Amino acid sequence: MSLECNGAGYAMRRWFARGLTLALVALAPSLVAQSSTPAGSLEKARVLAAANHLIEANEMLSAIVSGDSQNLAAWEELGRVQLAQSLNDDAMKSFETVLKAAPGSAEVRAGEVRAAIASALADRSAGNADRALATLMRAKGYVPDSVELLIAFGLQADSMQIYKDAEAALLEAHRLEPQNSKALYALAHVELDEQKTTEAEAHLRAYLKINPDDASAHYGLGHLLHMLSRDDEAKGELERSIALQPRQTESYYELGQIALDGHDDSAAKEAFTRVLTSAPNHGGALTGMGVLAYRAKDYATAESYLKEAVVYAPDYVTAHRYYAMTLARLGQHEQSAREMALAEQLSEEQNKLRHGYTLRPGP
Amino acid sequence: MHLPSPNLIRYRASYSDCLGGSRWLIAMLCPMLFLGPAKAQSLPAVPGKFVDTTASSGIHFVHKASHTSKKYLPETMGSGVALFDYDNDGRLDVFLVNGAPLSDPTVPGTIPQKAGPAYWNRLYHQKKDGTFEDVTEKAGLQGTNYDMGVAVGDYDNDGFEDLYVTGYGGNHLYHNDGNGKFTDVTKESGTGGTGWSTSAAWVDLDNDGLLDLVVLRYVKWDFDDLWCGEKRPGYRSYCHPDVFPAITPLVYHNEGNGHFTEASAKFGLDKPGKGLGIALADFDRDGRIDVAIANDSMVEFLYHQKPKGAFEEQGLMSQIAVDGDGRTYAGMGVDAQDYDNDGFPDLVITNLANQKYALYHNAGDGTFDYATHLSGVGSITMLHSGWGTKFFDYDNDGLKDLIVAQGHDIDNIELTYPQLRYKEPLLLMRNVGHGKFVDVSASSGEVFKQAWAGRGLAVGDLDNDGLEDLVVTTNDGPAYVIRNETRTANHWLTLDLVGHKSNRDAIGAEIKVTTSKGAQWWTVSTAGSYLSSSDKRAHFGLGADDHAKSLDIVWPSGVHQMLGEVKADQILRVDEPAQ
Repeated sequence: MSLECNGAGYAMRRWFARGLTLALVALAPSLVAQSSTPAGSLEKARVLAAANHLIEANEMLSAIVSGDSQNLAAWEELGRVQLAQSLNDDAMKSFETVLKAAPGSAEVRAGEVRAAIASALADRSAGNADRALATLMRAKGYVPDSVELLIAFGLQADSMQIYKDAEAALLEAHRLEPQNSKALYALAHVELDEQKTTEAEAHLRAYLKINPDDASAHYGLGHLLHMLSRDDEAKGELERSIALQPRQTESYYELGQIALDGHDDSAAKEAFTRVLTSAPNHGGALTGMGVLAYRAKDYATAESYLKEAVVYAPDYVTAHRYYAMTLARLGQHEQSAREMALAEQLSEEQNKLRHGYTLRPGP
Repeated sequence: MHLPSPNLIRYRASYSDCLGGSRWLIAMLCPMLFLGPAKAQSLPAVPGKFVDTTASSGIHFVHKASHTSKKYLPETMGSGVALFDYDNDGRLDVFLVNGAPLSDPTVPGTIPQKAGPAYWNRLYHQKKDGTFEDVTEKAGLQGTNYDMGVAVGDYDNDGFEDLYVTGYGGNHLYHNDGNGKFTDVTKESGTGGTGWSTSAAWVDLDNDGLLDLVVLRYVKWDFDDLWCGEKRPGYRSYCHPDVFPAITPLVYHNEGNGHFTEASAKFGLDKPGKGLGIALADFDRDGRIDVAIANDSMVEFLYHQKPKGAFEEQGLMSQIAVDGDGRTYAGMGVDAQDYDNDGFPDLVITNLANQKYALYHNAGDGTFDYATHLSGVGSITMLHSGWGTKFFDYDNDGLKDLIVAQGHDIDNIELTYPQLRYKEPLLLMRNVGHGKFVDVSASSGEVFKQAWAGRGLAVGDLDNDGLEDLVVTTNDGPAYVIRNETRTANHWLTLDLVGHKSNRDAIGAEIKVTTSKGAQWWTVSTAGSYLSSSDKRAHFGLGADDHAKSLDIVWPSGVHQMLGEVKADQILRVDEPAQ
């Protein structure tokens, strides 16, 4: 009964709104001309937008700003409509028109940030990382103190190995909101990419104070501590991560790597096997199993693992290197030489990539 | 050299998966995103006692790097030191290498020349009282170019150690005339070379009884005005070696008449590299010397000598080319000795902060295990940058320890990496057995608290007291004479091998000393470390034993010599027998 009543009420409201909108739409071509003032036209456009008639609202607002490019209220409304239409680039232009004249407008700044992030996400999904970064950078020029925007920029830049600029943005986000856990996590990530391990550890620990039950962060800290050869501490963090999120692979994999480095082959095998049970195509664990078999001089088994590893982790140098060594042990020298050359080439390429890029202009 | 910005990941899942699409801002919570037979028993960490005696030593050497605003790469690479007894008086003397003035800017194509005593290389003669006197001018060893490295070897087997000095724009061979003077025989010997040479090693590659010469070159480089580092004032830095092409080493075959022939291709030692450090050992105990090369920011090389004398580069196959995660690193200094007394020479290669010095344990089957983690070296060296390094048994307990000269190559590194330092103290790692090392620097003397831009390092027993001393060079700074005054009742034995059929220095000889605790091995060489040349004498710590039960020497000629019980605490000359 109640459901029916609610349904009837909903239908009634829909009907009323639709009727009003239809009426307004019918009048749309002449609405602007007929309105006695720009304010009147703007109000009517708002009504259209509220009724989700975004195309018509857009047309009306565009007509207003084409007649009066200084009408900031219309630009602001147009930006909102464009944002709702997912016309993110247009929305940014509209918001930026307002921000040039009134840089402090909170709503417009928020609109600019939303539009920029949405636009960057679309570009990124389309594989255009450069444009995504450029969009975020442009928005940062208008809204330099948006933590959300700084984090988005930092993440995008980090993913493109533009470490220093990513770090600068994330440090600013952290300065603006010291307790923002997303900023802390992202900052730790870029610091790790930059090998600033001391800072990365500090920021990750700060993040974990805010989010003590984040299994991913415990894994990240465990990974970092293993890199620092603090394996006992690393194991503690990884085990904590597993306790929080038993259905995962990465902490088990990391434990396997610690055991592998420590030449505890049976523990390594157990951990890698566990990973492969739930993720049979895990390139790292396949490599780990291959390394263990190679160590045991079981080259046939090593080959079977490593052959798969180089398929599922084609950029993983260790997989190629051990595969090459295994092939050599099996007498397949030509293929071994090819794999070794590939390993060397990948190693060189990755070495160069690790230096990162910078966006900063010259003096 | 140079900081690699760093992918610290061994293996990671698809980064873009985690960062893509609408999950972008919650991607930080994506789980995959985050990067993804030693015989001795374990011993307590007995510190050493090392004392900086530079002030009273008579050695007042200051290296001139000639820094410019252009940050030319040679400015940060430092120079080497040699410990050798040039006048055969039984006391080690010291040779130090120096730079040359650079104009700012320097025109490409320039070969910088020394301009006065401030830039001279220096030879210091050790007097009977243990202090040193500067005999550079008398010896005629002032040098010519922007010099960097030094290698010691008696190439003509006349009983007097000769010197080879490397540098930018050409190298120099100085023949020791035996009267306190050296003659520059570069031209007639054909060993001048071109380009930028770094470490060099004297070694008899073909076992003809004459020392040949392997000279590493760093990169193809000139005085071009390249801006590296961030483009803002104060942030310009030295360029990463990735910017420059690799280059082949120079290998000079000793023809026996004072002339050498370049034979890198003939020996198969001609793979282009970015060589900074070289060490020698017979890694697979097949009776033929092998060569390890530390390359900067590319794969490291291990040249294995094949039965017919040619070499084959097997770094990747032997597993010393990269670190345990398959990554290259900035190989700088290198040394090879058997640290775990299992009979097979191991390797250490120093590198930059965040890379961890690479310790490779020789598995005895032609491969090495990356032992950095397991040995403790990884956690000790994570934030350090190392150059010259040597295995040496500072406390004579029978286990070879490790010493490293440290400091970053980028003089403004603190601006971008606040936790790193351009100047760092020396690092002393004590071998406590079972393949483990511990850092005993802090408790081994005030000298380990002094921050230097350490570069070259040589080891030798300066005062013949049975404790091995150090001389360390710093970039654009003083050289330091560091005496080992460790208090220990442990005994020692130093062997001064003299080859007759083999090269006179016995470089390449493998010595096995057996005590009640077991055996230990040493490869005779003046190479290893970085740009430097160490005492050729082989030093063994015998622990509590006052004698060695036996000595076994395999000379480069193949002659196998065995000696019975040998009293400890002496420097023993051993001549190569006829058979």
